[in-house]
Amino acid sequence: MNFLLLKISTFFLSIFLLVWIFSLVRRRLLIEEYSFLWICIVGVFLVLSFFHPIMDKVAYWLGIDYGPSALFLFFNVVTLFILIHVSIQLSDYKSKKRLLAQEIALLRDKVEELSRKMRSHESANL
Amino acid sequence: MMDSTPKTLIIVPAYQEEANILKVLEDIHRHLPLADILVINDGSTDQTGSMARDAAVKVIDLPFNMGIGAAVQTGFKYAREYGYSEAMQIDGDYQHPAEEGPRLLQVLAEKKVDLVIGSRFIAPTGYQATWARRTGNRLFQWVNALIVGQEVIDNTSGFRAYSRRAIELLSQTYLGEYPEPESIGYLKSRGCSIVEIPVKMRHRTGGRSSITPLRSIYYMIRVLASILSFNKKSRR
Repeated sequence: MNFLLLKISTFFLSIFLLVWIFSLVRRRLLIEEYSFLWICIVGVFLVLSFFHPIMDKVAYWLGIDYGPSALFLFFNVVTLFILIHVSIQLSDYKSKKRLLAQEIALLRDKVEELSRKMRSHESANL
Repeated sequence: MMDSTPKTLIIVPAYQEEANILKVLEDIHRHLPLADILVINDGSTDQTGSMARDAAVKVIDLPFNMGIGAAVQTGFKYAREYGYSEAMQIDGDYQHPAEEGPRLLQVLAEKKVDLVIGSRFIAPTGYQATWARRTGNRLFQWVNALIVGQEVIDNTSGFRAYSRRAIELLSQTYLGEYPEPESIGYLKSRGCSIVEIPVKMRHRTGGRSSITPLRSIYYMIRVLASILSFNKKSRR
């Protein structure tokens, strides 16, 4: 087996992913910080699926009998790290969102208070 | 607003409490007539906010529902900014009886402590919590006793009086969505003193608790995680 079908399909999948990522960046739906990460991952994906000896060697070092299993393991670990990273960012955004919402609520109260004072001041002057 | 007498702010977090809010406010007016009341309307979509405004009470509307922790913290921020010397939390669900409020404030002033917790379990007061709540409380008791070195019987009670120092600390530190158990460890770690006194609490008469038995395991894990992290959370 020379994994021809696998190579062709991973090639097209990678091309699809690259085009998608570039179009997302172009439309500013994905900031370039993340596009870099995804492009690297696609690159690794391409290299590993086209150069089987690398994958087989890595699998051998890890004590994994079947090469493609190492690929799965690799992507699972990468996905896990990305998910944790996204959770951290989400937590950061949530706490910033909370601060902003509280600030808005307190400021709105202050604005209402001030405009009430201004109105009563104006009506007292009239 | 005089500077010599203690300025007290009653913080009333309320989410979808149109069935209870007027009763709560009336109760506070009757038993704590000198205190200022601040309702934190936590993104309610019902009449909670407008009913409280019609009752001539100060209302701060959060732009969306953020949970009790963020709501009460908004109250602490307000108290800090407007120079209140003490604050008390009375929930908008009519479970905390305002008639016990003066006693909490009295203990706060006389014993010069930073936090007075109105406790349901410290003495037989007629309150019967669900088994899930009791189990959770026992767990928090154990964890807090281990970490904090002080046994607190009713960790989840939100019926509390806070000193100026506690107001300042808590306005700057967000204590999760379930702030009650966590704040004990946090305040203690900042050298604050805590006392607990028995109070009679009511059962809720409308609205719904944020803690259902089904969610209590989730709640316990989250609170444990947050208690364990309290000493790291000195940021806002």
